[in-house]
Amino acid sequence: MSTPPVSDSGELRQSALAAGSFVGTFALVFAAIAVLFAIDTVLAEKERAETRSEARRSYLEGLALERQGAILPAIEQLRSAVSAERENPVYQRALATALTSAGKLDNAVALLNERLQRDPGDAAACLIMARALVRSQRLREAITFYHRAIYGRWDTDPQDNQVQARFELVELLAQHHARQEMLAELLPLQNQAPRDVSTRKRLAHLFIAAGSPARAIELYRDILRQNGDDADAYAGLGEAEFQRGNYRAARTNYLTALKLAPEDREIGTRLELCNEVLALDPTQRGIGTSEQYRRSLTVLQRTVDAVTGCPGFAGEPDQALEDRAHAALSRRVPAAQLHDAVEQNLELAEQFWETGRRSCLQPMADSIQVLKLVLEKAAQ
Amino acid sequence: MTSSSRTPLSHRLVGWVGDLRRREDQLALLLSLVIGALVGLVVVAFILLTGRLAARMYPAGGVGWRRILVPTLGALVTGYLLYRYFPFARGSGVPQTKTAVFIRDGRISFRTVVGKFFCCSASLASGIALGREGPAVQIGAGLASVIARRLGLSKEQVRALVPVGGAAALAAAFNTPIAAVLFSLEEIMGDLHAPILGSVVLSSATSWMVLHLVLGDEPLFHVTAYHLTNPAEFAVYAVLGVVGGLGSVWFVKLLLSLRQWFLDLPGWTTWFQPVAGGLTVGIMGYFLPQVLGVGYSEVEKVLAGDVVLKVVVILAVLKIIATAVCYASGNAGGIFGPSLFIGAMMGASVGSVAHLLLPTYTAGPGAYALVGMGTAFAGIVRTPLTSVIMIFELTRDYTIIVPLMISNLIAFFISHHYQRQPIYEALARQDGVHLPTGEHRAQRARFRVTSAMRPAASETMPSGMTVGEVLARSRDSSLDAWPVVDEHGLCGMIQRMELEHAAAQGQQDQPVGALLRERPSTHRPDAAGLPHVHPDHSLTLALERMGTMPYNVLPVVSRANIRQLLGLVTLQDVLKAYGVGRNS
Repeated sequence: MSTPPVSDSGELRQSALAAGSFVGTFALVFAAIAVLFAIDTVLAEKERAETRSEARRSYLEGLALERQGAILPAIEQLRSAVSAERENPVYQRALATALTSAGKLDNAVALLNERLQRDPGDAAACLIMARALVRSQRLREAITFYHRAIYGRWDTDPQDNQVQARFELVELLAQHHARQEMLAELLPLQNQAPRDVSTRKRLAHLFIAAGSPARAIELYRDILRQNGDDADAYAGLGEAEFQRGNYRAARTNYLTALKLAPEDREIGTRLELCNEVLALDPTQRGIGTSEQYRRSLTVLQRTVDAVTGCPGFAGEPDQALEDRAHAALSRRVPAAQLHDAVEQNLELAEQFWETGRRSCLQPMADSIQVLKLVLEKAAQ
Repeated sequence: MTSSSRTPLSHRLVGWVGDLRRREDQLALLLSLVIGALVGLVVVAFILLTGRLAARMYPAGGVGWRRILVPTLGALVTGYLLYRYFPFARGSGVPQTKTAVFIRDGRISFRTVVGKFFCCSASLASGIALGREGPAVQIGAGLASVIARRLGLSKEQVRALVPVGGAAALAAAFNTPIAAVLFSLEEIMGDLHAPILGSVVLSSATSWMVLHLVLGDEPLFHVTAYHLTNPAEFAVYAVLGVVGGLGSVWFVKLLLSLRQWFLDLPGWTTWFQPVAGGLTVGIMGYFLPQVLGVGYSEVEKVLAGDVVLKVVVILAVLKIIATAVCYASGNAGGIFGPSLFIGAMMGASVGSVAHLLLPTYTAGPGAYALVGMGTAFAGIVRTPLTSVIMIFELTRDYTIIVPLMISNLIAFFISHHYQRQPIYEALARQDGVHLPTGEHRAQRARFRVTSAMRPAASETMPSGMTVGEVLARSRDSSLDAWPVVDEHGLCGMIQRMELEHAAAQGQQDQPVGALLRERPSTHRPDAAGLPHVHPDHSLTLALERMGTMPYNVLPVVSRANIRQLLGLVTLQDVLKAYGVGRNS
């Protein structure tokens, strides 16, 4: 660093003045920076507060409009809320839900993607995403997001929300007849779900849909131990027994349920079906051989009628099989051979049924559901 | 300062200040940081003030007539203030900044900065359909100019700091620090290799940090991830480039012709001319409020894919008209923001039509709106590199680069074809200011040594040749110095005067190589002092070298091997290249 010569006072004065002006300018600039920083901070804080309040107002208005069914104005308000407070996950999720309801699925997915990029553990956003993807028919991705919702982070009531998300997933799987996956979700859900009656009934019902009636029976029995007058539980138990092919037990439970809730038409219908199966089932225990034979003939006759009368029968009818069936229906069987005849009749009926199942272009009528159940039972 | 205060501390201070002023690099570094911070804070204040004023002028649920009254009154009040007190604060701010750099030695007055800040803030808040970025550039550049002049810096230093302030302002106003650097170099300086690059980067980064410190890490637009649905989409982006280019040309021509019309009106009407802009945008805003103001909230909606085809088409057309009238009538505000708005609407229109016709091959209209922003910017402002980087910075998504480049370049070429003069240069020209254009710069780049050099073969003298032989050979030559070569190539230049002097001293039989003063060897190939130029040197440099050395001819040598003689360039060749030489 050089020092100016002291002897030259004029030059020094000039230099000192210039240096003073130089330093003074910097001091002024730094002071301006400090003042501006303070002003900016205050202004920014005020702006944020106003923006937050404006966003809240738009959000509440949006929710109110959504409740009234005015979905497009609701989206407009929610979008304003999100624009004003972009980081707020509550507003983003509300907007995504509204967009999904309005069928603007691409927009909803894009918004949720953005949200999840910022916070991949946001379980609520994952659940909304899963719902949007279900509506977009992107089931595999939806299932992934349901899992992320189940194992993600919930801000409130994590246990309840996880259970609800899993229930939603199970119901989705039920709609798509994915029984194995359903069961895989139901087993942890059984441990996780609350022990209240309605949840256990829901679980038991889903176990039946997942093809696991034994677990449903356990649950219903457990419920009935606590409350023996629960018509729903008896009906559910009847349904589970029905699924297992225990038609007698099913009928008993349906009857009890109907006694407790006589106005329930659904139970009545199921009981009727159960009675029809029991009346037709040749394999039922406790009936004599001649009755078994009579029932086997009825089953064979109804099967032949159902198959030959099926709308849009395609392909060549099996003449030999038809001849054999007609022969079986018209022959007289000695009492000693009745047992074998029952077996033959049922076998013929099953073969006929198979033919019908393969060749009938349209699904066979519901009225033959009884026949199907009886043949399934006979095949066991 | 009195003699009693002449303490060692004051001496040291004087010495320190003197040293700092002499060390230009250090001072530039310090000033870049200080200017970056100050400009960043001022621009943040500008943004916040404008936002708060706008919220007061247009409260939620306000009546419709307010949308006519407020911009009209706003334009009237600011128009008068601009006319009476701040005449240099009209318009965008970018041409004014360029004028300051190239013509006024970097001078922008503090009054202009203050006027620009308050008038522009009021004007934009009232709903005038102009942008805040251009004015921010002038405010930033003005602050840099004021500080530099108060520090007593030289004109060159003041001039060099103006784009530094401009870049800092743009980085804070648009939240895109890299694009701000490029804009400053590409548009303001017109030279991407300007020596102020380091200072511009530093101030831009500082300003951007200040913005984030005060306002947080929020991008200007929230943009969803971009996806190219099908390679066939490139064709649609090319169509967008064409639409964007034509739209840009229409906008620029409309703005320039309207501005010329306003300029031709009697001088006494100047103060209320801005009302025309306010009233126009007010009437439009009465029916379609999205036209008012900068319109970034509407752009955000469109980017999110919330598009109704009819609305975006109408908005694009109305915004072009509104911005052209507002700017041309003399309101304070820029065209940077509106060009993005127009581009987003044009992009969304093209994207909507494409998605309607080819839903499986094209992305949603939001992606096109995003590319459209860059396209219109490239077409209107004509800074293609800045526009690509700006959109890239906004999205932080690399995949958008290719469609963006396709669309931008097409728009740029269409705009260049139909409107030769870029908008900022044309605006300055309407004010009687002739800024250096891109063509001038290209022309300057054409004046290279390579364009003037001649073959050297017939003029070279072998180093073993005697002085007498060389003198005899040089009698018919028009040159007064010749390159001397040996088996390795060029070894020096010999003048006629030196040869005659040697001959007069009886050294006629001496080899000419012995007379050379600077002679490169295989051990010293750098040939310090050997007069020369390279083919890519400018002719100006060749002239400078001829001036400092006693030759009017220079050897042109290879950059890879200085002894490889490629040709000769003479004073007459240079003058001829400039069109002033005599045929000799």
